[in-house]
Amino acid sequence: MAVIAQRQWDLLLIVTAAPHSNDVITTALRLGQAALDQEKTVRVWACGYANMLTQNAHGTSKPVNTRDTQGTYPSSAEIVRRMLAENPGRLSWIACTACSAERGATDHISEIRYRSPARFLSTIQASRRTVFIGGC
Amino acid sequence: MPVKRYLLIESQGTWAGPNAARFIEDACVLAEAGNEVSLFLVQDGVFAVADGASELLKRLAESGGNVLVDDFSTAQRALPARSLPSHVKQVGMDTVVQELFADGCQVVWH
Repeated sequence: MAVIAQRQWDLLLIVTAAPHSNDVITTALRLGQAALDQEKTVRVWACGYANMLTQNAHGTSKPVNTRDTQGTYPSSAEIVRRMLAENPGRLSWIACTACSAERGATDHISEIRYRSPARFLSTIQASRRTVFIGGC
Repeated sequence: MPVKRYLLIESQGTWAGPNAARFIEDACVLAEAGNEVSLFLVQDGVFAVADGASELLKRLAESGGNVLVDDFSTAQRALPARSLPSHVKQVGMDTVVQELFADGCQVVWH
């Protein structure tokens, strides 16, 4: 009988905290990048309003900064896209299907993987370390 | 009882409610029980070094715990390294990753 081995990831960041309420997403991204810099593999599970981060509607850049009208700042979707492009096979970003649907936020950038919350536990089991970043 | 290793990450300011101080006290109790404990203060959690919660941080350090504070968060909040108590160590996220992947480490984010 063939046995299918589930891939193990080094780090799973479960982000349930709402973005823009504070700098939690910055912290999560910094932690993920630091792990990638140390040759770890990283998965992010976006839960709740964290699913708003990777919507196509954001485009590639943020709205104009009125204190720096000539500046260009990447959108959250673009930041995630770049991180995924820079770390092929070592970084994965998962959108929770239920949370996305509940918020009408189902138009993620194409690099995002959709996953049912029914697979939440198996996703945790497939990681060496899990950091649950809460604060809805 | 076998020694365990914990990484506790406090991201909330002490004014956000009593839970931040309780979380730091949890770190103290774990360290006093002989466990290896690192407390990492990040985001508004870094303000714990600047107000009354410092006594808990000192207690943690005296119990053998590591008190780590995020360099980025302190810089963003105008807390220069020279203003930090001697029992607090300013670190980058690379150090947090090393702590996180230390053998047997259990991590809790608050």
